[in-house]
Amino acid sequence: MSITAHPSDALSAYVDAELDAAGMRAVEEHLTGCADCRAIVADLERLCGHARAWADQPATPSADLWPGIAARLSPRETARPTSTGAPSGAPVVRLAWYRRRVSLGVPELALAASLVAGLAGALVSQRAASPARQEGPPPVLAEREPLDAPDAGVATASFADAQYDAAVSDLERVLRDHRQRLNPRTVLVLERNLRIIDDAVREARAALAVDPANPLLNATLADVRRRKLQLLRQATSITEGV
Amino acid sequence: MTPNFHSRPESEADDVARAIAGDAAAFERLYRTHVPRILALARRMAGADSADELAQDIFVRVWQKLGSFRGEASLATWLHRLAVNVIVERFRALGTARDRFLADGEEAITRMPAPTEAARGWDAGMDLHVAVNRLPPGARTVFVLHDVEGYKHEEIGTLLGVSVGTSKSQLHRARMTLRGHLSREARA
Repeated sequence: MSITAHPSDALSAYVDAELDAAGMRAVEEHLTGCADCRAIVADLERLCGHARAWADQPATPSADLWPGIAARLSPRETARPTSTGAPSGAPVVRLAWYRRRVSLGVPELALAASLVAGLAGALVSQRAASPARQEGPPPVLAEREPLDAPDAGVATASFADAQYDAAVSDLERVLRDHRQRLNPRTVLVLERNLRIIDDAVREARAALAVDPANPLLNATLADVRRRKLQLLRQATSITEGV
Repeated sequence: MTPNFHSRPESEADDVARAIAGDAAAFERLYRTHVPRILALARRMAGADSADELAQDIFVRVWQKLGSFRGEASLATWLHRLAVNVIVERFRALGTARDRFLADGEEAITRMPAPTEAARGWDAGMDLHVAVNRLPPGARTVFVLHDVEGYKHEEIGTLLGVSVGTSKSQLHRARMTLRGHLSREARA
């Protein structure tokens, strides 16, 4: 078969050797008599050579992209410590993803996470020991209960530092004044959990000082502070009702 | 001597395992090793303006998907495939790939110089990157995937949702358009 017209559409396939044997022979036959098509084929072959070489050229970012990536990494559900120095086997939640890593091991994190439930048990026991409360179901905190619902008698907290600190201070004072009404074991659990929360707040704040825009850190800090407020509210309400 | 964090003699396989387990430091090492080529790919396919943002999206996706890496191909190959998918998804978000590829074909044809119009010998001083940037998006994507990244037409068709024939014709149009651009550059 001979091709008399320019086989323009077949030239790329010819360069890529994608034509069948008859097609390859026909294009070759045309090329022997057509300087224009030979020039196109030569250009396409050079172009393909340049393209292949282009694949090997790395690029340098205009700025370090890692901080933006790190801020978007979601924590693994089964995160294990590998380079933080945390005890082997202890679940770790990374609060900062670059420059500084803060880890809360089992004692802090697990207790902080289950703080409400754990303390609720102690408080329920305390309440159950009170005859005045025995007729009704124990006021166990629901996990999804709104954490910032205002309580009567104490300042309503926003999470602007001054107002939050004032509300916490108010609740701590009430708790101090009435702690003798609580079971000593309940007081121990309460104080231990408050220390854990305070440690978590300090660590999150320290990490935020390095990485202030980190959304995970900010969410963690807000959550821990809400938990502290809720814990204090629950404890003070118990002391007032005993 | 202060140890260099980024050159610790840990194998890539170790870092993959650590990153899968949640170690962001190990993942950062993988990122620093592979970002030059992933970023280059993003620049070739999408242009310099959006390449940095795309590279970030790609590595976030890598973090999410790393657990599915089985080591059957090299990590570089796996990353490359994933990166192409992320970039094509971005194209789809901006307008369906099929529309892009069918729509810009005719435009490419009208810009394509006739064989006799093209100048001879444009090799010297050619700037392929600049010329590729001038291609219509569809032709550019097929050219980069086929001629630079080494994808087959069948794979391109699957990725972009177009037929093998469309991929082949787009490639030819892209090449001829590039030849025209580069010829004019050589004459200038």
